[in-house]
Amino acid sequence: MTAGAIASPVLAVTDRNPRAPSRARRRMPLALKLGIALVGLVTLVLLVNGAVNLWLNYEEAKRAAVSVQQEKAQAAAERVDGFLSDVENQIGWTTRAEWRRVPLEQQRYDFIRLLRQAPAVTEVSYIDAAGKEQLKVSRLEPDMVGSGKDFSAEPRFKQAVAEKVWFGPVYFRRGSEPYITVAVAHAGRNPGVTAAEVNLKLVWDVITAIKVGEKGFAFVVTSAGRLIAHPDLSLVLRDTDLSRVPQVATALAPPGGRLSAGAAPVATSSASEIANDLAGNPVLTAHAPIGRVGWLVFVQSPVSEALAPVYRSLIQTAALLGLGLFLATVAGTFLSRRMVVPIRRLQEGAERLGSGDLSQRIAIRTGDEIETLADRFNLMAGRIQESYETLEGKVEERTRELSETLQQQTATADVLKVISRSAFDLHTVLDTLIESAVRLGGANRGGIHFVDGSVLRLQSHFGFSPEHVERLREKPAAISMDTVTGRPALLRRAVHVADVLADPDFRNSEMMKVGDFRAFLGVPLMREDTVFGVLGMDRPEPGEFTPRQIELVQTFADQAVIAIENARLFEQVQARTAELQQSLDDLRKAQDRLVQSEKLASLGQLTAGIAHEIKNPLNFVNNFSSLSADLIDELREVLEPAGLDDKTRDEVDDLTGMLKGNLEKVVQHGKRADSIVKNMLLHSREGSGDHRPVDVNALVEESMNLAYHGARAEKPGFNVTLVRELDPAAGEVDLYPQEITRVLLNLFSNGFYAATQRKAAMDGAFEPTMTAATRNLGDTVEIRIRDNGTGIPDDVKAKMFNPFFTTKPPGEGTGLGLSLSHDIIVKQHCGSIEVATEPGAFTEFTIVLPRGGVSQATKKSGS
Amino acid sequence: MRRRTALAALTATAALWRDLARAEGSSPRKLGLLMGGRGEADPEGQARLEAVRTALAERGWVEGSNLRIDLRWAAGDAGRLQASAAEIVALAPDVILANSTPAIGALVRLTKTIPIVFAQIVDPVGLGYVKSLAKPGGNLTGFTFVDLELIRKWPEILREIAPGVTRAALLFNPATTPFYAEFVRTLALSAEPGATRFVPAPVPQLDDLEGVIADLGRTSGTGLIIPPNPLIGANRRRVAELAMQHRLPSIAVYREFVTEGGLMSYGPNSIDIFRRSTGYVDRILRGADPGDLPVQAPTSYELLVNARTARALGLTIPQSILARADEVIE
Repeated sequence: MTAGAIASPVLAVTDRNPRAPSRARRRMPLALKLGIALVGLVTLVLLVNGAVNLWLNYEEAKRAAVSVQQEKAQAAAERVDGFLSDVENQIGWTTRAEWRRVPLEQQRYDFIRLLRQAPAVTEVSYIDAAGKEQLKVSRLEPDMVGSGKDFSAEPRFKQAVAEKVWFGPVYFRRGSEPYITVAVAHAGRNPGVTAAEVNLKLVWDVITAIKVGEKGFAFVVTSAGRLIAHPDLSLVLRDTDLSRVPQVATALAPPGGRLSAGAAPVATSSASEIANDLAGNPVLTAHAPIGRVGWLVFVQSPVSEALAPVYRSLIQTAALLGLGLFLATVAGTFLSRRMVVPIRRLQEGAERLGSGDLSQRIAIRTGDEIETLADRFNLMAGRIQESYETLEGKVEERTRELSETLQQQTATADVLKVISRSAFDLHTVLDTLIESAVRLGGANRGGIHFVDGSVLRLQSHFGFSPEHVERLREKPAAISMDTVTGRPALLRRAVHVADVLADPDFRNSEMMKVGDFRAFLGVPLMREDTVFGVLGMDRPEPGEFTPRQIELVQTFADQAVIAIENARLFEQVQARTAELQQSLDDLRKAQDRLVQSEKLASLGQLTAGIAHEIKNPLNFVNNFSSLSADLIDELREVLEPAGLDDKTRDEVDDLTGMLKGNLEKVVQHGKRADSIVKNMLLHSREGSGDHRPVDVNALVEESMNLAYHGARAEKPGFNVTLVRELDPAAGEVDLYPQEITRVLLNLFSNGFYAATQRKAAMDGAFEPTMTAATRNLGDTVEIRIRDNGTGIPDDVKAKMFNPFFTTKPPGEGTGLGLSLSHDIIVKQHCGSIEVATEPGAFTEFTIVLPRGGVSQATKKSGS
Repeated sequence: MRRRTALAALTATAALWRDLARAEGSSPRKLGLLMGGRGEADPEGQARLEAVRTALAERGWVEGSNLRIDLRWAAGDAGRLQASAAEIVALAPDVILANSTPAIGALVRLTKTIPIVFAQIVDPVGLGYVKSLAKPGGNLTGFTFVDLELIRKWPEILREIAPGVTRAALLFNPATTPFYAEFVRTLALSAEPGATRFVPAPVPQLDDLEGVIADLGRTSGTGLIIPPNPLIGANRRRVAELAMQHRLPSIAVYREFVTEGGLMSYGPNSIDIFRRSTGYVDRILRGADPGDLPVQAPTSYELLVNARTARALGLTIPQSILARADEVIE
C-alpha cells in the first residue's frame, strides 16, 4: 500500500463534495451574468430614454398632425363655403335694384347666362316683390314666363327678403341627387328674389380637389348627418346617413342642441380625433362647420398616414435601441471575458489542486485582487503539500501496525477454526498451533512438550530437524534451570532468553550442537495451577522478543491448553458412551431371552391344557369305535345261520353296513383329531419354525376355532357368537404361521375374556360377539379382531403393549401376551398392530401384514 | 395556443396567396361589352370603345393582360340586339357593360345573376329594371342618359332658332323603343294651348326612314325631334341628310348628330357617360354588389349648334342660343 493510494481516497472525499454543487450552480457562468448585467443596464437606460422620447415625439407629432388636420378641415370648409359663395355671387348678377325693370327677354337672357356660368344651378327663377314667380329658366324643363305661382309665404321668399340671402334645406331629387335652394333678395326697396336650385353633386368637384395627404379625403354632411358630398359619389347618391358614425354624431350634438339651416353658426368650431371610417379602419379625422348652411366638412386620413412621422420616430428609436443593445452586448462580452479569463484560470488551478496535483501553482499577473487571490491559493497549496508529506509518514506507520495486527488476528482465527473443526484430533491442533505461534512469534522453530514426570517430552513441533527430534526423544529436556525448555515449567511463567550464550544458567551445550539456537521464548501450559507442558520456540540469531510477540505466544499457549483439555474431555465422553452402549446391549439380550421363555411358557400351558383335555376322550372314541366295527362283523356272522326272511335279512344287512360305515368315519376323523392335537404339541415344542406363504383366511379361521375351543375347554359354560368377515381376495402372505397363530390366539383369548367379563357384569342380558375380518390392501393384508367386551380404559391402553403388564388377577396372565404379539407383528413381520377401543363398548385390534414382510425383516436383521 | 396561432397565420397566408394569384393570375377577368346603339364602322362607336378601354386601363384593367373584353356591336338593330345579348350572357362574363335601353332590356330578361352596368338608359325605374336610383337592388346599375321629361325641352330650344316650328315630330323605331308612342300620346293630351304639338314619327324599318321624313317634310312648321333611340342614333348621318333635303329643322339628343350635319343637339356627353361607367365596372370586378351602387344621372347637358346647317336652312342663330351653346359648329 503506497502513500498515494492512501492519499487518493482521502482526497476524493474532500474533493467530491465541493465539486458537485459547484457544477450544479455553474449553470449560468459568470461571463454571462456580467454580460447580462451590463446589457440589461444599457437596455434599461435605452428603453427608458426611448420610451420617454417616443412618448414626447408621439404626443408632439400627434398634436401636429391633429392641428394640420384641423387646418385642412378649416380650409376644406372654406372651399365648400366658397362653392356656395360662388353660386351666391353668380345669382348676384340678377339682384341689382334695377333688374326688375329690364325687359323680360333680357331677364331670360341673364338667367341663361347664369345657367351657363354656374353649372351647379339647374333652375333659376325670379319671384317679384309680391312673391309671384315671374320667370323660370331650367336646364331640363321648359322655361316658364309669368306663371304667377305664389311664393310669398314660402321661406325662399320671406327668409330671403328678411335676411338678404337664404339657403334652403338640402333635398333630394328622385331620392338620390342632393339639391339646395339658394334665394337672394334683390337690392333696393320692395325687393324681389332670385331663387336657384343648386345641384350639390357638383360639390364633388370641390371635394375631390381637396387633397388631404395621400389617402385622406374630405366629405360634407348636413346638419342631420346626411352625406351630401364625398369623393365616392355613389355614397352620396345612395342616401348615406352618417349621423350614427361616432365622430359625426359627436360633432352634430353640441351642447346647444340640434342645428338647423340658417341658424347660428355651429358652436363647436373645429375638433379632431382618431376614429374609425365606414370600413372600420382607424382614421385621424377633423371637421369644420359651414355656418350659414349648418353643414359640417370632415377631413379624414388614415392614422397610419397621419401619424407617419410618429412611426418614423418609433422606428428611429427602435433602431437606436437595437444599436445600443448590440454595442452593449459587444462591450459586455469583451469586458466579461476580460474579467472571466483570470477567474477561470484560477478555477482550473483550484481544480488541479483539488485533484491532488499539489505541485501546481497558479500564474496570474493581472495586478488586481484576482492576482492576490491566486497568490493566496499558491500559499495554501504549499501548506497543504507540507502537511500531506507528514501525514503520509504517519499513515504508513499506522498501516504497518494495522496489517501486522490483521495478520495476527487472521492467524489466530485460522488456529481457532482448526481447533473447532478438528477438536478431537489433538495432533493436528497442536501442529497448527505451534506453526502459527512460531511464525507470528518471530521464531524459526518451536515445539510443544508435555510433562512426563521430571522431564518434558516433545509432543508436536515445527521446523525441528529429524536429528533434533531424535535427540529430544532420547534425552528429553529436564524440568530444571539447566534447559531453557524446562525453565517455564519450573518457574510457572513465560521465560524469555535473548541470547542463551549470555545466560549463565544454560548448560545444555550439547543441545546447541543439534539445535543451533540463540534466542528462546517459552511459555508454560497450565491447567488449574498445574503445569502439564511447555510451548517453546527459538531462533538462531540472538535478540529480544517484543512484548507483543510474547503476548501472542502466551495466547497460543492458552489456546493449546483449551484444545488439549477439549481433546481429553472428548476422549472421556467417548469411553463412557461405549460403556453405556455395552450395558444396554447386555440388557436387551437378557430381555429377549426372557420374552422367548415366556412365549414358550404360555404356548406350552395352552397346548398342554388342550392336549390333556382332548387326548383321553379322543382315545376312548378311537378305541371303542374300532372295536364296534369289529363287533358289527361278528353280528353279521351271528345272524348268518338264523332263519330270517329275505326282507328282514336285507334290512339287517343294510343296517349293519351303514353302522359299519359310520364307525369307520368316526375312526377316520378321530385319527385326524389326534393328529391335530399332536400338531399342537409339536407347535409348542418347535417355536417359530419356518416361514412360508400361508392363506390368511384359513389361518384366521383356524386360530379363531382353536381359541374358541380353548376357551370352552377352560370354562365349560363359555359361549360367544363368532362372526367372520373374511375377504376372499385376502390371499397368501409369507409369514411364520405358528407365530401369527400365537398372536391371533392371544388376541382372541383376550377378547373372550373381556366378553365374559362384560357378560358377567351385565348378568346374562348380553350376547358376547367376536368378529374376525380380513381385507386385501394390495401389498398388505389387514386383519381385524373385534369384541364387544368391556373395552380398555385409557390408562391401560397406554401401557398394554408393555411386557409384564397385565390386568388379570395374579397367576392368570403373564403380562407378556400383547408384548409378544407386538414383537411378532412389528419385528418379525414388519407389520403394524393398532388398537381402537371404547370402554364398555368394544375393542378392535387391527393388524396389517405386508405380503413380503418376513423377508424384509430377515434382511434387516441380517445386515 | 401557439400552434393554433401558427395555423391561423398559415391559413391567412394561403388565402392571401390565393387572392394575389387571382389578382395577377393567368385567367383574366371577363367583361362582356354590348354596344347597342352603334355599329363597328361608326366612328362614334369606336370613340366610345376607345373611351372605355382607356378608362379601364387607367383603373388597372388592361385588355389582353388581366381583362378579356367580349365585344358585340348591334348598331341599334332589334334582332342583333337580342342575339348579341344572348351571346354575351352565354359567355358568362364577370360583368357586362351594355349601351342602349333595348340592349339592357334584353340582358335583364336573360340574366339575374351576372352584374350589368348600363351606359345610357332611359328611365330604368319607370321600365322596372331597378327599384330606385339610390338603391337599384338587383344585378344591374349604371348611368342614365336623359329623362323622358327632356322631350318637352327639345322643341322649346328648337323653336328659339326656328320659331316657325309648331309641330314636333318624334322620330323613333318602335321595335327597340316602343315606349315613345305611349309617351307622345300622353304629352299630346296634356299639351297646353299654344305649345308645340307633338306627333309620333315611328320608323318600323330602316328602309322606311326616307319615306317617314319625306312625309314629315310635306307639313310646314314641322321640326324633327330625335330622342335616345339606337336605330335612329346609329343612322343619324342619314337622318341629318334627309332633314336637310326636306328642310326640316332638327334637334337630337346625340352630340354627334350636329357634328355630322344635324342642326342642334341637347343632351349629356355620351363619351363621358361611357367613361364614367367603367368606374362601376371596376368596382364590380373588385367585388362590389351592383345592387348597392346608385344609378347616376348625367351632371351636365351640352347644347351644340351647327351654324352651317342653320344657314343652309335659312335660320339665324339668336343671341340666347349663342349664349347657351357649348359649341357652335361652323
